[in-house]
Amino acid sequence: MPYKEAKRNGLPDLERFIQIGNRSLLIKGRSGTGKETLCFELAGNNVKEYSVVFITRNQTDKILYRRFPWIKEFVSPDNIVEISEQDAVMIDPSFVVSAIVNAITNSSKKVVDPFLSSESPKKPFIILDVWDSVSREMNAIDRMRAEKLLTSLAEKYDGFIIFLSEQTDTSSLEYLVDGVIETAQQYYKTYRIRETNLEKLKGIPIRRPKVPFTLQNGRFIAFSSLRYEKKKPSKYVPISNSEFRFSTGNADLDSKLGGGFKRGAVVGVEIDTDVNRFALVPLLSPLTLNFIAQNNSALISSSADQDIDAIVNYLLPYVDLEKLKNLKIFGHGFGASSEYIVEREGIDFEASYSKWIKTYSMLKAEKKPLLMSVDYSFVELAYPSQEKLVLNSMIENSRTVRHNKDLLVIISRPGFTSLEVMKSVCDLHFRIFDHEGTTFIAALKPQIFLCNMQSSFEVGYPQLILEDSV
Amino acid sequence: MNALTVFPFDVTEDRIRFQQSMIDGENGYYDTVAKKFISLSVLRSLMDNVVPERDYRITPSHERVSQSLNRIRRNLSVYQRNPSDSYAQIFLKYLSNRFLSSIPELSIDAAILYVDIVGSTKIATKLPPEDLSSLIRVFSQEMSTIVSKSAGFVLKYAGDAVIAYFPSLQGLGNMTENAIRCGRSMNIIVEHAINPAIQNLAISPLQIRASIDHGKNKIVFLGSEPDLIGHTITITSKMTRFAKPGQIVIGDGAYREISAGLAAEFIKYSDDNANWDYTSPETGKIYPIYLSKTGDA
Repeated sequence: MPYKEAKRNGLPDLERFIQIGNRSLLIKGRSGTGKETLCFELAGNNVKEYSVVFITRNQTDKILYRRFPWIKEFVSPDNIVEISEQDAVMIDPSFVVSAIVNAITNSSKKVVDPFLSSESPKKPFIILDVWDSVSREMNAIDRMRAEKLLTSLAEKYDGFIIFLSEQTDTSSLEYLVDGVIETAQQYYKTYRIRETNLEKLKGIPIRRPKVPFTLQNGRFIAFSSLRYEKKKPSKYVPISNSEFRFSTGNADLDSKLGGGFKRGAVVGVEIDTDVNRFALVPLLSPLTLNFIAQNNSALISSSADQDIDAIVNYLLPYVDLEKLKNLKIFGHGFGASSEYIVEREGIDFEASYSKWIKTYSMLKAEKKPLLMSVDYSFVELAYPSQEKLVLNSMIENSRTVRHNKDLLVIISRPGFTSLEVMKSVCDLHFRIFDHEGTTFIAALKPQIFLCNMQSSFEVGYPQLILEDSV
Repeated sequence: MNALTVFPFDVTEDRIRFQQSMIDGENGYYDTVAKKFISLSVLRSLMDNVVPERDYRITPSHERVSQSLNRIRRNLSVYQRNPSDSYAQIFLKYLSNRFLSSIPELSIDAAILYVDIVGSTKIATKLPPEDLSSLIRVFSQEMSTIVSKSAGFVLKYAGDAVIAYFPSLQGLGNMTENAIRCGRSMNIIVEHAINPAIQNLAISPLQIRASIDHGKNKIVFLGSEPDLIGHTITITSKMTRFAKPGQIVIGDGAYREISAGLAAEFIKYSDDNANWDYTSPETGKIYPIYLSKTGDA
């Protein structure tokens, strides 16, 4: 899928760093933070020019291939050099250094048949996964000399060398190498968020110094910021609801939720104020489309700062006009009268709410399933003196929806009283937040997933793409 | 021993280029220019193929013919994927450079052999570039091996032509006769090894023609690479066009160097149309050239 391919190239700064002819890189980070995976991704992206040599502590080719089956294509078993623990600890470290030097030199081709065209010499791409255990045994001066030797070998053979280190003190090496990056991880609730910190890349202006990533399926996938590009629209293809669940209109999200939202569920969506509001589009558009495209109804309270047309514009290209008869949007229509607009401008909350109840009953006349969606932080803002009534309506709406086995989506933001009420009443609580320029969605109640979210118009209508943060 | 008279066999004495080293438990040398490790066993097999033999000549039943055929078949496809020289080519070029650089007088008495493919322009238009380049590569590799076995050195490749020189080397006989034997061996290899191997290329079988002359040549350094210039090398390249496919043309300088028996196999070229108007600086007369009796003439 081209979309996912594009996403893999999430570290353009690092790619460029290798392309412009730098020779050495230090990847530091604690165990399990994804150093090896990142190395192999970098190697895999450069196989045309380099032959990859992996010098490891005690991983055999079998173990490596089991962990990273995809590297078989470009790391041959001959190029996996194992230096055992005994070599590294028991014997003089200089022995290990010469073994490493040999492994690097070796990769620069032996003549096997002098009369056969020699393979065009590929430059070595050396991944050195043993340096910690070797350098620990050395004094500072010897260690610096050896590090100089290894970086100069990369220069001599026109190659590239990556040092992997779990040590905290790598200052001497940091000074020598052309680039330093760190892989790290932090926890959010019970979830893990990984990130790469690009600390130094010689000759490259670092545009994104921190890049969140995931190791889904053993691959390094960098997360990118939410994209908006639209494609030529096509009609939405509905996903049918099951007996107990409403589809979210998104295959990715359905599978994470075990088939969709339970009928009669109240879903709370907490969206941080620093997240672009567009993030709601790939989540809510397919959901709404899935309801109206199947001739079910949708009752939406638009955000008070938005023109109703904005919502309709997000839906109309993907459904036939006649499907909009199942849709009612509460908001300000600027005097325009449409079948789907319910004007609430200039009336107080009580009047507006009774209109809301009436509209709901009308839409439910045929007892068909209904989606109700309310941005409560904006309702709260619109009726500041009637806060109690507003919050009460949330509870009433929840009760109605539960009773009639409909679906209620409540949106709120930090700092609003409605958020706390939403958290208490909802069955499912999602939080959408920004992390280093990328947008995450976390299921907080219950804790089912933490995913990076991305919108895609690949199929012709908005879709939510979720990549697990693992 | 004087470098002039000895084939530079022991390349391992060149400590600047060849560093003794051991890789994977194998002893050998690291070629610091080609950046390749060459183990002793590989070096020995290479030497077996390039160290000159006295009166070396290939006949159609010679074991080298079938070796060549196998090698060409293998290389034709490899060169298409991977247009880089074999180590043997690099090595032979090195030997020649090393030999010429070791001559302090900067002048050398040698037989010059010029060999090219007949109708190469036609071939070039018929073959796709990949096929053409691999054909030229296998051709030049086979030719240079024969040159080396026949006590000569490849000076350079010029498109489809190979220019070689045969200096006087101790114990390796008459340099001009070596060049003539070399030209004949080349014809055998083309006919019995190259042509059978290229049957499925859509071209007619290859044919070569050769010219040989003997005389003094100046060694010049163009950049760091030694080259030869002079009367002999110029005239040799000019004579080639008079040779028919499979034929060898030799100049007066070469004719005077060879035994009467071998000379009897050549006939003086008589030119009524004055196509050959090269005058000898020594005699002031038209420089005589001789054509071999064999060939498609």
